[in-house]
Amino acid sequence: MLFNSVSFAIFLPVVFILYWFVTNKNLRLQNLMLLFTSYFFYACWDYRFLFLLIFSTLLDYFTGLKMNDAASRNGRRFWFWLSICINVGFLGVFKYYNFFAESFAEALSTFGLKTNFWTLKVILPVGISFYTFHGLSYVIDVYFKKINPERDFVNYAVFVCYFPLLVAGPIERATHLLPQVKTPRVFNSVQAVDGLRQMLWGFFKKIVVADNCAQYANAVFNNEGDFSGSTHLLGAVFFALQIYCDFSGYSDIALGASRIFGIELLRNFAFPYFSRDIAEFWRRWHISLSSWFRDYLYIPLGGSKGGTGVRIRNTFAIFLVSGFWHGANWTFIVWGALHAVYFLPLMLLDRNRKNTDTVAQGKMFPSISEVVQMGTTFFLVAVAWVFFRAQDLSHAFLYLKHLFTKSLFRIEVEDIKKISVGADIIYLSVLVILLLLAEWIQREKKHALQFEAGKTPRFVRWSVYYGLIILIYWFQGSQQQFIYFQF
Amino acid sequence: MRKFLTQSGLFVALPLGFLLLLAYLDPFNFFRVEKDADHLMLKKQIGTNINSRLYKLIEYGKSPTEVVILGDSRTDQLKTAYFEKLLNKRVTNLSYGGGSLPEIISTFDEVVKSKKVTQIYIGVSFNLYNKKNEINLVPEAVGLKQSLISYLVSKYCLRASLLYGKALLFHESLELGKPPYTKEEFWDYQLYSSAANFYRAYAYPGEWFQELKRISGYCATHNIKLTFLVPPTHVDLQKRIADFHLLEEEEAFKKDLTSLGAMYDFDYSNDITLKRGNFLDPFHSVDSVSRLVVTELVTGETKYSKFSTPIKN
Repeated sequence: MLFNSVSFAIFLPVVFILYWFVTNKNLRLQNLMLLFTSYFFYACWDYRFLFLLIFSTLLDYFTGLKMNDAASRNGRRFWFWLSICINVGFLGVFKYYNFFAESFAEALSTFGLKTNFWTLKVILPVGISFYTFHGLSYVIDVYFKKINPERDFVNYAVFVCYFPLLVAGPIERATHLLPQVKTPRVFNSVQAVDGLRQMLWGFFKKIVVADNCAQYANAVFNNEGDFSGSTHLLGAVFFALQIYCDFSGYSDIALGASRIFGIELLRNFAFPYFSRDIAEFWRRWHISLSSWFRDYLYIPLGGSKGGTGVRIRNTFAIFLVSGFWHGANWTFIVWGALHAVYFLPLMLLDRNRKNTDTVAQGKMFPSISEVVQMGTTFFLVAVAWVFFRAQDLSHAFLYLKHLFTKSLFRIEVEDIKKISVGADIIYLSVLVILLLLAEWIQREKKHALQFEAGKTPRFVRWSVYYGLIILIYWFQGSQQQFIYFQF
Repeated sequence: MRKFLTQSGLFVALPLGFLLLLAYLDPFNFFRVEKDADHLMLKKQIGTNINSRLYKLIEYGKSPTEVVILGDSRTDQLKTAYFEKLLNKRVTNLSYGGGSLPEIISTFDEVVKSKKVTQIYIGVSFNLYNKKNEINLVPEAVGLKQSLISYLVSKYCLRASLLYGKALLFHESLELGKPPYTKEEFWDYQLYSSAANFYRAYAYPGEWFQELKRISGYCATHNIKLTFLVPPTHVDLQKRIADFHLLEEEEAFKKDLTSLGAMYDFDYSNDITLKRGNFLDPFHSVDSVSRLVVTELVTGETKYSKFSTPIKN
C-alpha cells in the first residue's frame, strides 16, 4: 500500500475514525487497533513476511524482559547477544547472503579457485532494515540500562510496527516513541492540521517532483554513453532531486500522518541541499539513520576522541556501514566511502561542526560565499549519487567518464528532446524552482508548509493548499515506488 | 475535533464536487459509451490526443473484437474500415502514435484477456526493434482503466475534461497535435533529427525477442492467427540505417520476425517506397498506400510486399 495510492487514501480515514471515535476511550484498545491496522498495512505488501515481523517483535520483546530478569551479568549478556545475532542474522540472510556468496566466489576465482556457492532467490522483506533497527535500538538501550524493558507486548509491538514508519522509517528510538505509545493521546487540531499540511507537501514532493525527475534520470542512467557530458550532469542532478523528494516526501507523509494520531515521529530531513559542507549535509539528511549510527556505532567505537588514526577509522566505519545498510551492492559501499573521503578533511581540520546553524539565519538571501559552499556541496553529493543510482560499479564509472568530458560545457538540445518523456522540462524546472524557493523561505521551520497560527489568513492558506493540489493533479508523474522501500 | 472535521469537510467539498463534474464529462468513456455521435467524435479526438493508450484500451474493453491491430503510428494509419470490408469482421486498431515494442507486448497481454481475439496483426519497424526504445506507457493506462478513483484523479482525465468542457461550452473546433512545420520542413526534421534519435544508439532487444516468441507460441496454442508486417517507409529513411551502420542489425531484425510467424515486409526499395508522393513524411505513408497494405495483408496477394513464413523443421 503506497502512501500515494488510492488504497491509502481510503485506509487512512478509516483508521482515523476507528482511532478517534471507536477506540479513543480505552488506550489499550486504541493501541491494539493501531497494531492490527499496522499489521494489515504491512500484509498489503506481502502477508508472508508478516510472520517474520511478528517473530522479530517477539524476540526483542522477550529479550528485553529476559535481560532485565537475568540474575547474573553473563545471563544478561547471553540474551543480549542472542538477540543481536538473530536480528543481524535475519538481515544477513535476507539482504546480504547473495552478496557475500557472490563476492567470496569472485574473490576466490581471482586466485584460480572455482567455487559453486548457492545463491538463493531471496525476496527482501519490505522494511526489514527499518524494523530491525527499531528492535536493535531497544535491545541495546535496555542492555545499557538507558530504559526499562516494556512489559506490555502491545505497546512494544506498536513501537516496532506503527504503520507510518514501518516500511521506510524514520528509524525511531524507544526512548522517544514508547512513552508516546503508553500515554493517552488527546486530539489536537493544530497538530492534526499541521500534519495534513506536511502530508500535502510530501505528496507534492513525491508525486510532482520525484516522479517526474525519475523519468529524466532513468532516461539518462539507462542509456549512459548516448549523451553529452552536460546531459549526464543533468541526469545526476535529476536523480539528486528525485531521491531527495522521494525520500523526504515519504518522511513528510509519514510524520504528517502520525501527527493526525497525536504521535510525533523523529524528524528525518532538514533541507539538506542547503548545506554548506558535507558534515552539515549529514546532520540534515536521513537524520534518524545518521544519529542511529552515531549513537550505536560511532560513539561506542570512540567517536572523535583518540588519535588521528582512530578518528579516520571511525569515520570510515560509520560511512561504510551506512552505505552497506542501504543494500548488498558495492555501489552503496563506494557511495559511503566517497562521503567518508568528503568528510575526512573537515574532521581532520576540526571544521566538521562549523555550520551547525541554518544557512543565512534570519536573512532572506545567502551571501556569495554561502552560495558557492552550497553549490559545491550539492555537486559533490550529486556525483556521489551516481554510485547510489548505478546498477554496478562499472556502470557508475562509465557514467562519470561520460560526465567529465569536454561536452560537459556544451548543452545539447537534441539530448533534452530525447530524454523528454514526462512533464515538459521547462515546466519541471519551474516546479523545482518553486520547491526550492518554498523550502528556502521556510528553511528555519520543520517543513515547507508550516504556517504560524493566526499570522496567515485562511484565504491565503487555502489558496496555497488548493494550488498545490492542482499542481499535483496536473503535473503528476507516472507512479514510481518509493526508492527507500527496497532497503 | 468538531471544528477540525467541519473545516476538513468544507475543504474537501470543492475537490469532491470537481471530481463529480469530471465523472459527468467522462472524456475517456470510462463510465459509459457516449451515445451522441458528435460528442463521441470530440471525445475520441481529445482522448486519443491526450492519452491514446487509455482511450483505446477503455474502448476495446467495452467492446472487444475478434481482429486486433497492434503497432505504432504507422499501423495506426491502417484504417479498420479497410480491414472490416475485406474480412467482414469488426476490427480494433490498438496502435499508438510514438508506440514502442514493449507497448505492443503489453497491449497484446491485455487484449488476450478478453478471450475474443482470433486474429492479430502486429506492425513492427526496425526503429522499434531497439532495446533503447523502451518507453512503455501501457501498464499505466491499464492501471487507470481498472480503477475508477485512479482514473478520475489522473492528469489525463483532468486535461481531457478541460479540453472537452471548453469545446462544449465555446463550440470550438480543436486543432490538436498539428506540427508547426511545412511539409518540407517536417520531412527534413523526421529524416535527420527523428531518425538520428532512433538510430544513434542501438542495442539488440534480446528480451523482447523472447517476449515475441512467447506471443507467437501463445497464438499457436490458442488458435490465434498472427501476422507481422513491416510498414513501408520512404527509401531516404531506409538509407539512414546504412548511415548509422545498422544494416546487419536490420537484417537480423527481419530474420527474427520471419522466425516468429507470417511476415509481410513492405520496407524495402519498391514502387511504393521510391515515390515521395506516397508519403506524408519519411515514416508515414498516405492513405492510398495504407489501403494497398491492408489489401495485401488480408488477401495474401503480394505485389509490393515480400512475404515469408517460418521454415518448419
